[in-house]
Amino acid sequence: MTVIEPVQKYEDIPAGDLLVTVMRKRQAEFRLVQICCAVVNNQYEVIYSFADDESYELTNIRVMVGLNETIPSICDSYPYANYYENEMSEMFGLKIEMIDGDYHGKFYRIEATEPFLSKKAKEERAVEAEEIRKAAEEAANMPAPEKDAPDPASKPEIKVIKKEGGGE
Amino acid sequence: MGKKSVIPFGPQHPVLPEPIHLDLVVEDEVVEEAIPNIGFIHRGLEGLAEKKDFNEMVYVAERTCGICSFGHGMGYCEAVEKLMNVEVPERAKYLRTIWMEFSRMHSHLLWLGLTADAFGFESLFYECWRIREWVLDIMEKTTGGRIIFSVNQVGGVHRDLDEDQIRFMKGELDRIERDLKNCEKTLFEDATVQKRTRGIGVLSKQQIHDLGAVGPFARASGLKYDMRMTGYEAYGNLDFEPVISDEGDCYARILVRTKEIYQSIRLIRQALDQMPAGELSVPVKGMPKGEAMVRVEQPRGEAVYYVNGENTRFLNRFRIRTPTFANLPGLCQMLQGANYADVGILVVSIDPCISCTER
Repeated sequence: MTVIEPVQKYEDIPAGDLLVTVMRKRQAEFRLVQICCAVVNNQYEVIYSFADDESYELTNIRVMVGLNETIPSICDSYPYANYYENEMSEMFGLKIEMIDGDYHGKFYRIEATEPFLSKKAKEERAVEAEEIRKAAEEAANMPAPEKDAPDPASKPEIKVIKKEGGGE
Repeated sequence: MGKKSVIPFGPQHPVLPEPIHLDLVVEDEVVEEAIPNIGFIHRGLEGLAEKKDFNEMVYVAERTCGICSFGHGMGYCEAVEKLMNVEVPERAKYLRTIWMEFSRMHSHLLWLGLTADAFGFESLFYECWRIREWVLDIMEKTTGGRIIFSVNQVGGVHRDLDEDQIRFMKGELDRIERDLKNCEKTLFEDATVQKRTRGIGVLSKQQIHDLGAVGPFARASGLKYDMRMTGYEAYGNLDFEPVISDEGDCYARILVRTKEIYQSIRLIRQALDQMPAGELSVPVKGMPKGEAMVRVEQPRGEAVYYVNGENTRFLNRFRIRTPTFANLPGLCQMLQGANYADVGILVVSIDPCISCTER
């Protein structure tokens, strides 16, 4: 038989380019084969695999996501991606925005929460989240410059108050 | 306009050998929407990779499922071998191919029986399972296990076939082929089968592609996609062409799977005749480092195995994307607009393997 030698390649892209890259794959009639999540160096490594049904070519698109970061759903391009996205969200706690068909943690009927996220990663994520919260709080508590506040560089304006009328 | 209601289908249901739950939104006995839920038998097997030695992990991978057990062990080994640049001996490749095709035969025969049972054709169910028993006997006599063979290892296989076993296999294959031929007339022409499967759950080639479906389910809609075409293991040396049908209904799925059993018989015969003498395995040195992804054609379709190692004896990540997981969107699409009475046969028609799906 004629053996088809499948090409397999990896592409690393920033999370910001995810939707455009996936949309291009959809336009080129690639099939979404799978989405795989792993925790590598305190980051989520998300691999989106796309195959061409004729050449058997497999393209793996890798996106690194911080433990407290959010990535967009690719359901607009691949509606059936919601199963993979719900799985990643429930098993690893990866935050995914705007899943079309979000099960909100009820896709897998299991008691454990985020069973594939290690205890260490959960602790690190909590520390990181606390730092983010504090930074946001500090930013919120900083006094905002008043609109009518005098410019400290300019000389203070001296107001002369005249007394009107006599007291006695 | 009838009243909409939600009917729970499963997790326990006569047509389901394993638990899956579907919420069926029904109006006038017509399904409007199907919402699947899984996780009733989730065991977290992928997570075990972080705690088991990569050589021991073969046994865990094989226990992912009781039907496609051999394929999972082989897929895992192939992924680790690719990661560690291990070249498996030729004889081991042929042996893996032979046992993989026996696995496909027993899986398809099991499915044919379950399908017959789903539409109430019990004698056909018995007949298919009777033939399947012979396949299981062959596997037991050559590997020691009826379902879980435990013959795969990273670097090759544990067991060999001697001349007597090869002769026994060939004789049994003739018997299986003859009996399947007798059964074929009923499978393809019987009025009950036709009435319950023709024009039911039709999906076009474009729909199948857009839904990301794989395996015989996709090939029954005309998608000529079979990972065996890539020539992994010994498939590259065998005469092989995917079985396809254009009808895309439940009948076409029966047709494709039945023809694939004959195809497996032909592939095994070729492999037994061509199998070279030689070593069964090579020693594996070092620890897995880096990442690898392989795709294998399981009885239900393309399965993906991803391994990631950091130069320790434990893998950092082992991931399986099973064919049933890929076929779930196709199932939900088929159920939309289906008659409630056909739900059972439609669910069975994708050959759902829930143990695989939930891992």
